Amino acid sequence: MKKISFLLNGEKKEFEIDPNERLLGLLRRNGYKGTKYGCLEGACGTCTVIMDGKAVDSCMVFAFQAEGREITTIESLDKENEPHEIQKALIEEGAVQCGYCTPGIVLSAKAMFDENPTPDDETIKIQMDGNFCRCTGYEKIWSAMKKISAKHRGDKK
Amino acid sequence: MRIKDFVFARKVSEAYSHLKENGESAYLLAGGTSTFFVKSKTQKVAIDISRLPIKGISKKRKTFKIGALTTIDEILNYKESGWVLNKVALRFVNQQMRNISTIGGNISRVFYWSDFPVVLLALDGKLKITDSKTRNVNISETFKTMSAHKDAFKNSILEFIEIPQLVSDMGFGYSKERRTSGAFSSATTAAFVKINKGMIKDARLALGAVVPFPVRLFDIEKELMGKQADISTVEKINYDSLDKIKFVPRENMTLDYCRHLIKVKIKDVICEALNQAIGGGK
Repeated sequence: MKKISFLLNGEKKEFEIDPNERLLGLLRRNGYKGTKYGCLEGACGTCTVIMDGKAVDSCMVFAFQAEGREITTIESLDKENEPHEIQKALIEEGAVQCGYCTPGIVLSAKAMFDENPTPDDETIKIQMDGNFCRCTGYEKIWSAMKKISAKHRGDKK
Repeated sequence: MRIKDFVFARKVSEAYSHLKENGESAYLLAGGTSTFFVKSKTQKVAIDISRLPIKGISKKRKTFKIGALTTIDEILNYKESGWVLNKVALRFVNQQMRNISTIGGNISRVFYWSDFPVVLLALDGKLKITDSKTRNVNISETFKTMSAHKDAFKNSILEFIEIPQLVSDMGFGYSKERRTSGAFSSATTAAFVKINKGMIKDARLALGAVVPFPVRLFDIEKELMGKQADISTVEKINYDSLDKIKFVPRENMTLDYCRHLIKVKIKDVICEALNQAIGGGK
């Protein structure tokens, strides 16, 4: 076992890790279970976290790669009765059904909007192409993203 | 493949020292996604090189210099006239993978589905490699002695990749066949052409995914040289030379279908490159 430390949801944390351990496993065994197990091969996006401002699949990142970096998980948005604007938009558009993929989608969207508050439709499709949803058919997810982008642009519609 | 230990390198010289120190167990890693696909009986010591100052894209005269640690996302979002790798980056797996995978990793461990090796063959990319000394090599030369799934630059570090800026009279075409948007390539083709007074002055074609390792299609290139830069030349291409290639059909393709698909794709990418060259390299 070796020690690493990184900023997790704004707090400096230290962890003992097995060198072969993935970030997904490390987060979940430390109670950050909003990061979901999915395909474990970087295809489905359900284990998405934000690393230094970029959405990444935590199943594809070794835990040691997080050393000295800033990691954001879905738990960072956990404020009772105060959903994040992305969560709000997904609910309003009916873009959540079973909900298993939702944490990953929220974090991919957060990374996108943090970098560019007003993405166009094409950018939304490119930036969100790493998250599978087997319930909603994607249209409602995209319309939630478009709604947020329009809100940031100040569109009245 | 199993990682038994890890170290961090912040300078190229430091990374090289770790490489030497760990010998056969050493495993250079930046994005780290290839570790899923590399098979090794020996446990490895990961040398995390993601913090080395060899990232970013710069333009110098008529070439682009790309740091090996430049992510595919940075390649997608780089905006400059004559930059064509964004076409390739757009078709690269998905956003999460574009955010972490690097162009250096895509070249250093070549799998049949790797996108950039095929493209860099067509663009005649140059590589800057460091071991005990620094040297510049041509990608075509390097690939002659390489095989799939192995470390391309064993005991050395790929620092930079150089490709031409496409100016007027130059064109680039690229095609990646895949079953779904995130799937591995089942056929990759890329073409570069340079025209002069309506004639093809230079042509390079490369093929990947349906072959064990990316290859240049020299015979077809020769056929194009000196010919009129239009569709009639493309229609007259003789594909007999493809018989010499050992195809490995993917995704349950039959060998006949695979050959036919490649002929169609070669035509497509040459036409795309010619159109761009005729239109002024935009």
